[in-house]
Amino acid sequence: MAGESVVYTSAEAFQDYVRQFRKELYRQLYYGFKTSYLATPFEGVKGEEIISESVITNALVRRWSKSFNPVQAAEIKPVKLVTSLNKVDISVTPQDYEKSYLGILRRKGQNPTDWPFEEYMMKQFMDKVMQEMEYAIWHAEAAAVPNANDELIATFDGYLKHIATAITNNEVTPVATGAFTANNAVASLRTMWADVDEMYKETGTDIFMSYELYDYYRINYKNEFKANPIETETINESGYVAKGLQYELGAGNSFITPVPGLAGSGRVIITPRNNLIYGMDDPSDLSFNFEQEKRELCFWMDFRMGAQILMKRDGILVVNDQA
Amino acid sequence: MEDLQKQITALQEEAEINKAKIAALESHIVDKGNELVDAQDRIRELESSVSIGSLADQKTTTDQVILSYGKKKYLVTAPRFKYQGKVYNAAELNTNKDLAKAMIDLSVGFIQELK
Repeated sequence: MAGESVVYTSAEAFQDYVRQFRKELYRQLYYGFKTSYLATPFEGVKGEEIISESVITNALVRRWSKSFNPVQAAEIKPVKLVTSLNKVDISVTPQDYEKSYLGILRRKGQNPTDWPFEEYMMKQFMDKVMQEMEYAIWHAEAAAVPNANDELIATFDGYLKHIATAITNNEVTPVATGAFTANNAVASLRTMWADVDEMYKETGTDIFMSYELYDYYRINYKNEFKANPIETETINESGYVAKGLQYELGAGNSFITPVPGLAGSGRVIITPRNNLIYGMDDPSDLSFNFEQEKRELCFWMDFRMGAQILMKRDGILVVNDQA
Repeated sequence: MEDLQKQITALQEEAEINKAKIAALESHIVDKGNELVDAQDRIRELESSVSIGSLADQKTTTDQVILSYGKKKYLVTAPRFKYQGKVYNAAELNTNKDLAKAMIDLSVGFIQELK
């Protein structure tokens, strides 16, 4: 099968590929993992950015009178979105991937010009990086003493850490439900739902949990009502689809959305998806490169990432007691 | 011709000296590298000894409460929580034993047994 051989060690081909498809790679990286379909991205955050959250606490509408008496309309609360600089250094021998590439190529019935080896290799890396991003955006906890060997999960604070801090700081009151199980998930979620602000019951909110708890909920629901909960798809502004369940209570526009990044956590989070934000580089700042070292190809990539929750208040961010 | 031969010999000697210097520096780099690895191991040891320290040794913040229930002690990490529609302060757990029992039976995440 000599005719099927591919020139595997040409760094130039990879460099050309990452330059040509830079925008697609950027989009894959930052908009390719599940939580990125749901959370709100902030591009071009270098180091940190202060985002002002305005809270309208005073009544705006008063009885008419001819005098002008402005009220303090909004309380501005600063929220700091911090991004950390991360890197990926990989050294690979492309020949190691030959069999799997050709195998998949045959199975797909494509030819190498449709699906170049460079794309195949990049996909292997990007899939793994996205997997790490998905987990880190929830579980990350910035190391107190930064170390050069820190993984992504130790370079910034993820949503779970922000929630734990908000509880400790008395900003959010956890609802005592105990652990969700296949026998109590429906009742426990109803207990939490009672704490959701009436406005969000009307406008709709999201309920985030791990797949383990999601399955407990489905099992419990089926056992209780002898019926499947209503499956649905939510589509964000970019056209990404996230599957989940339509929540039984409220106005019918709240969704239970399982996210793989919450794996291993017993935390259930009820909050509108746009309350979860994440920061990243500007597309032009993302650095990709390949270089050749004898038979090996060295690939590196530098990128920023951070996460934050905009509104940390009871009624808008409702969480259970589990970590 | 003789001068040229002398120059070649001198350059060869110089090259030998430089080779020895390079070898010494390489050895020095290896030593420093080993020292760095040792230091990193030590840092990791210290970090892990801090993180696995007993909860009982940890200082509680002003908002954290130590709950005494039965013969055990618990650290309450949430300053307040909601249960059955009512908000409780952590300190109430020490005065309301029924509430404390309910929370311990539920295995809520914000109450951690001190060992």
